[in-house]
Amino acid sequence: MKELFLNVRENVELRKGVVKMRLFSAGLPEFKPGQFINISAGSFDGILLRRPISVFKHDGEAKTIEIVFEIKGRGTTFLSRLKGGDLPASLFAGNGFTVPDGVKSVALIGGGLGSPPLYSVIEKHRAKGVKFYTYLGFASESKTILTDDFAAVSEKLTVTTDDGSYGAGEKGFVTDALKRDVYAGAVKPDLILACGPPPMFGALKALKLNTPTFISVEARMGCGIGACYACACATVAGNRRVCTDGPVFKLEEVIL
Amino acid sequence: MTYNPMEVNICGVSFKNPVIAASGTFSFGFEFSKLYDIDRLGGISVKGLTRERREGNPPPRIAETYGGVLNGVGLQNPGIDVFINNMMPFLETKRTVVIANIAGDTEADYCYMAERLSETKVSIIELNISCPNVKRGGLAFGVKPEDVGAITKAVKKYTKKPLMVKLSPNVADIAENARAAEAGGADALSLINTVSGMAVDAETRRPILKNVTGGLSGPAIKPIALAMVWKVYNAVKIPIVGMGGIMSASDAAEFILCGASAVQVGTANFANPLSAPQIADGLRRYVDKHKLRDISELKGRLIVD
Ligand SMILES: Cc1cc2nc3c(=O)[nH]c(=O)nc-3n(C[C@H](O)[C@H](O)[C@H](O)COP(=O)(O)OP(=O)(O)OC[C@H]3O[C@@H](n4cnc5c(N)ncnc54)[C@H](O)[C@@H]3O)c2cc1C
Ligand SMILES: Cc1cc2nc3c(=O)[nH]c(=O)nc-3n(C[C@H](O)[C@H](O)[C@H](O)COP(=O)(O)O)c2cc1C
Ligand code: FES
Repeated sequence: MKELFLNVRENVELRKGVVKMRLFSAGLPEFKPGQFINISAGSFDGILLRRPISVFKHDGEAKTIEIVFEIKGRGTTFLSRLKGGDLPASLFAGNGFTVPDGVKSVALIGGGLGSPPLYSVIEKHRAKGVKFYTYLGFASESKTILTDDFAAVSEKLTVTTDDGSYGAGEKGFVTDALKRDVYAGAVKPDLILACGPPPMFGALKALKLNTPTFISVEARMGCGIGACYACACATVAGNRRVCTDGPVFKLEEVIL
Repeated sequence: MTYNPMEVNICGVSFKNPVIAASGTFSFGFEFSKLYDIDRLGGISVKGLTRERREGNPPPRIAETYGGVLNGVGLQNPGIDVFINNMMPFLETKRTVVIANIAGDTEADYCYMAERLSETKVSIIELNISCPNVKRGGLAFGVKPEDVGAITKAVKKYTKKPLMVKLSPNVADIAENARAAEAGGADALSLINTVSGMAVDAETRRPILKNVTGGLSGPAIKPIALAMVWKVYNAVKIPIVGMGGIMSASDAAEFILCGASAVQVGTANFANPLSAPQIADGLRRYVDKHKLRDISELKGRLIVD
């Protein structure tokens, strides 16, 4: 973990209310997919706390990262307006996703704005011949993001929308699509990695698949470095810190 | 020994500078030591310790308010034994003052912990009788002056270590509580702990914290904290460690002007994890700029015309 300034290099609106930002630092530290950054959202408008945002893409050579975030409150509104300049941040935080050696096929399950960090997993492990079956779920067509990016690097991309409004996708929940493919033997994952809202994790748990499954959870944070115990996630082993023990936990260990 | 104008002495304990990391925002120093050399700090007040391990409150445990942070962590900590056996060996390798912050359900808990800590290299025991986020204990001992006096007196019998009593702002008259602690044998006072508060989400119609209410910290409480430090400074003779919303060296100087011998920095560690050592460096520059012999020269020197 390092404390750095990130230089805003690019800031584009992917669709209304969702921003993609490219950030540069000459001192970018080692990165593991699924890790996140804790970025300052300025100090105007009474803002104090940093915002935890996952890394979508990581380019070690260019020393840049890309983040994709939804504009929700004061902090993300501030960030969305930046066209340049330096922002203090601590990075990279958290444990990240592990794809153990020997794993050949991975199912990635993303719900809405939980999707971005899954891309960094493919980015890192695809060259080793690991195949990624990606399932992304959104509320509706108007909420879909990053589908072209994922389509380009996935063995197969399945997009679901709750209301079926996305033409190239399916109607229903992302977990329904996964269930169907696994039960039919169309996809035989050695590992499932997921990031999304808690109900999605509940649905994933209910599938009772025999595949090792890891999920990346969210929590409101204070320090973001493991020192304040604000970011508790209830697990079978007691409260764990999302910022340092997580954000990735074994699905069966998290009390949903 | 070279002369150090930043050195302060609080109840016989020497701090290389008056900046101390505040309890609950710094854990046991390990995480921050990966970002900077924590020996740059005058001291560390560790996360509030209880007799047994505690899981704390259910999440969400933190919310951001305007210029403030509301927390309802609820004293999650590994317990006094794990602190002594697993955390102290790390802290002993550091050359910064270690303050053990303790909270109990009963008077016996406080006494037991104070006694256990007597065998350790902890320099000061900070009696947390001001945590607003736990149902039992904590604040239960910190509201009425007679309770403050009684718990201080009781704990004092179990330890020879200097005792610093941490006062709550959520009381009728903090000066009275300060006097009661002093009369009970407190060697120093620290103030303020968080201010009882609440954050609500109008859309979901729910409180943001699972615990409903929590403790407010950060710049939003600085004026309250300054007034209380000033009031207490004028009420007692024992040294005061001031805190509440210190984000910069000039904030720290304001507390010292109001009578604090040293300060604690809490929420600022979240906004900028390097803020505590930066505040220490900034105070040094303040001393030079104002041509002070040493930082203690500033203590209580508020000019009231
Ligand atoms: C590990 C991790 C990775 C994340 N990655 C992404 C991502 O890649 N893209 C994305 O759009 N969002 C992501 N989030 C959620 C993102 O942190 C919040 O949407 C954001 O903090 C909201 O800030 P705000 O100022 O807009 O909202 P406000 O409501 O003004 O925020 C107030 C406070 O609550 C916190 N907060 C509010 N919602 C959340 C939340 N869902 N999770 C954590 N803290 C919250 C804020 O950080 C801030 O401290 C991630 C969260 C975590 C924990
Ligand atoms: C997340 C958090 C946890 C805290 N935990 C403790 C604690 O365990 N014991 C204690 O005495 N004070 C605790 N406090 C209070 C701080 O030590 C300090 O008194 C208060 O936050 C005011 O200072 P600040 O505005 O600089 O943060 C906590 C504060 C925060 C924000
Ligand atoms: S946010 Fe402070 S411990 Fe995780």
